[in-house]
Amino acid sequence: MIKGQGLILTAIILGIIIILISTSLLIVFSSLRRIINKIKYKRLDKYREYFRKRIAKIIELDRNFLIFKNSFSPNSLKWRAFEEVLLEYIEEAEYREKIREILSVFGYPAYYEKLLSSKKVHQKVLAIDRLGRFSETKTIEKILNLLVDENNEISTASIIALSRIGSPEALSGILKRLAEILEKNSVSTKVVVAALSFFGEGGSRMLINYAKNISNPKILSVIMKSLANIGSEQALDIALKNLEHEEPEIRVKALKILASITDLDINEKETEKIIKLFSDPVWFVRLYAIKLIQKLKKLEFINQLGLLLFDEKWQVRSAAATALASFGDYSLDVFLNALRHDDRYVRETIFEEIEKSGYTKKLIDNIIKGELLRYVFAKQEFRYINKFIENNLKEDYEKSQKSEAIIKIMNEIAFSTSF
Amino acid sequence: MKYFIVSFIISFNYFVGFYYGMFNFFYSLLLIFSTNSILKYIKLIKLAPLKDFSFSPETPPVSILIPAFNEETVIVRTVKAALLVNYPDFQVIVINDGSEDRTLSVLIETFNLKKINLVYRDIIKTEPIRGYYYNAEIPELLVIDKKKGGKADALNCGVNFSKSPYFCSIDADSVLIKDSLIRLMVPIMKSSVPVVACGGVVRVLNGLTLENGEIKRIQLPKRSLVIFQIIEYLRGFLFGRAGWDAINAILLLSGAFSLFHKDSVLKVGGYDRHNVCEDMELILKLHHFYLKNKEAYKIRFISDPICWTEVPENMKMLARQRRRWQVGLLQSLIKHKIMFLNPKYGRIGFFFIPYYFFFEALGPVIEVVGYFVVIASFLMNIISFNFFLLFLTLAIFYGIFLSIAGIFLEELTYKRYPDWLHFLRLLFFGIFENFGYRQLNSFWRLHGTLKYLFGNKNWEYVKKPGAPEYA
Repeated sequence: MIKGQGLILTAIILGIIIILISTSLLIVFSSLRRIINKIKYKRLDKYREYFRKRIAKIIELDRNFLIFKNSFSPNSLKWRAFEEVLLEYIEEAEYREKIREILSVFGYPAYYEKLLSSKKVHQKVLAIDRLGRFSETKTIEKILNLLVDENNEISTASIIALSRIGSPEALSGILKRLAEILEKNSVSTKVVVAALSFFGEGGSRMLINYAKNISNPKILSVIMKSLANIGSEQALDIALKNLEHEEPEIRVKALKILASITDLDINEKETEKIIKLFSDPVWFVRLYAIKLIQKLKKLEFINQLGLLLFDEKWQVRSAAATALASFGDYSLDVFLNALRHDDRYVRETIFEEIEKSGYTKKLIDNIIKGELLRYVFAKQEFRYINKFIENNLKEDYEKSQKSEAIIKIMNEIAFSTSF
Repeated sequence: MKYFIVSFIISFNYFVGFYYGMFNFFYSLLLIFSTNSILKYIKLIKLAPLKDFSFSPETPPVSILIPAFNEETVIVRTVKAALLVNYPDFQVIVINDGSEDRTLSVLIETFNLKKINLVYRDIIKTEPIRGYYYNAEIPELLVIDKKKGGKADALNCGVNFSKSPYFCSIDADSVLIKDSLIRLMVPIMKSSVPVVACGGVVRVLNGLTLENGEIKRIQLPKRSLVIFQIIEYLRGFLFGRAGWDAINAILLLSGAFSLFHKDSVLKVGGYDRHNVCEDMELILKLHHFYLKNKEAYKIRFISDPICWTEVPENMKMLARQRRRWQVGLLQSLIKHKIMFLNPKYGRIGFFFIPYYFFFEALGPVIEVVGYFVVIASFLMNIISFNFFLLFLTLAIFYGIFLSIAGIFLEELTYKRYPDWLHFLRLLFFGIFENFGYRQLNSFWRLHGTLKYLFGNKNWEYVKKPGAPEYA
């Protein structure tokens, strides 16, 4: 039998007491916190409602906001509620300038500017976020210095805040530091691209001028991706210039830029450059070239697209089928010729796209017209057409009371399979 | 001989005491890490650029994979909720894994699906596909009907079909919140190191009120068994996983709500069909692959995106679930035993896998045997009252503290149960969880261990309650 000692028993009892006290403290603290938070958020909701009504009226009647001045101190509940309501208005372009003025008068930017030097990460991020939302141009330089901060939250918040400010100085500052940001990985590439994209059409010219002097493919890729997201016509030249870049990623970005431009107008020589990419050694370049031709509705290249139905990569075959399906009747011959091919994957890809793209009606219209029958007198095609019709068309045509026509065709096909 | 036996029993008692002490010590460390990490995180999530990324073309497309077997009562609810997610580019792929009920018919009728022919590229080999169902008016939704192959097989089928760079697996009885996916994705986008897997929080759906796939009212269920599980989930996610994430040591993400980088999963061969906890095995496999190849990667847990899922409401089903989890844990650890105490696999292999082995895998054995041995030893006067009291302190009183700490973390952070009555009931059950429920869990897990040792590694089907009441 293990002989315990008084000391051990005391220690154990003390341990139990500490556990019980700790547990009780957690319960008491949780309860108190609930009560305090309930009161706090009730008051916050009340202040928000109050300020919403008053601010709406003041804006409507174009009155002075100074009635609120000195009625609350920084970081108080009223101060927070007032700020939150103003931030609701700042999202709307017609009120933005007015709200910025009010925020300045009430000292919000100055408060957050001071908070930028806080050692606490969340306070710094809060300050950066707010200054970004206020479009506070005076603090651009300070926020730029935080782009390469060791803490990813701070650097990410900084680049997003600068994109919210959206001024040429902000963009120029980011571009000056872009190489360092990407090298140190202080902000992820995705966030960099997203932030640069937020500058919109207004930032395109600066991005394009910057890209002209860049040889580093990683940086160039980021700029071009941003331009593709923006969809600016101004990026046309840089896209065309880089269609033949040695890096496949850059070629793809160039294609994406072209695809993003609405009403893209390119000449024959430029179109040839794109068609050349149909035989690019890298499959995703071929893929994006197809998507671009689809968007441009360049029907003269249907046959070249038809060849891509036989590409080694299923993604390319699928994109080619989708593009052809989008060209409607013009693609019918190409599809039908491909259907006669021995390659099962080609035929199945075509059927997949036909079904998903709603090409079925076109096909059945052709069946009814009898043209398709010229192509389906081979048993392999029958198997697919039959299954295809059974799965999709019979019900539709029965509903549209065209069942006689379809039944007639099906009977003819069934008759033909007996050969 | 008698002396030898008594000495052995005394030594075993010491060992049990030491084991509980170490176990509580590690859990206390996890509590400190998780509290610190979550408190920092919740201050920052209010400032997360969710709205910006909700509309950004940079936000990667995601395929939501829903494997389903005999889920006719809940599948529509799950799919409707998934289709409502606030995310720029996503696809919902339901994989009907040879259901014997009306799961497929219900989907076809509700969403007016038509059978289509698609090309199946089985990059990971799966059971054959029987059909594909699609409605061009709901282009985000695809239903695949296949021959039964198990959950892992169904997920692999979904992975094969997914055209997105990421996929999110959820259970067929789960309800995704609108902004769950974007909340899960934003930290991935912000990370400079590639994140190959990321999990969110799974909460208990039982007892909640839903309307059109959205949570309308949160309330605690009536059944005690379910409330005990709520406490467990709070502890497991807010406390456990958040703590592991803080030290970059996630070894387990819930299959009920996890996001994966598709190419990474393909590189490791997808889900293991022969493992009953395919979610855990996949995470270990990813660690194994990336550590072996010395490639930079991260596996994360994010504590705010939520997926609500159903839990078993009776003992029989709960026992099955816990046995399966234990079998899966053992299968996964044994399969990757090369990583065990192997410095080549860094901290994961040298510290955290051994932790899982000694405390999570062996834990139930030592706990259950420990209870019997210690209590018997005390009754037979082999150990002193002091030691017995110490054992009770470590096994039960400290357990109460940890349960309450889990509830406290919830109060401090997300507070998804707002009513006072909820809070008081959670506290009550948090305390009494340690007088029977935890021990029962250990017993079931011991049973699972024995099943594994005796070669019975089959999937035990867990039937969960049907669709909860609608508003």
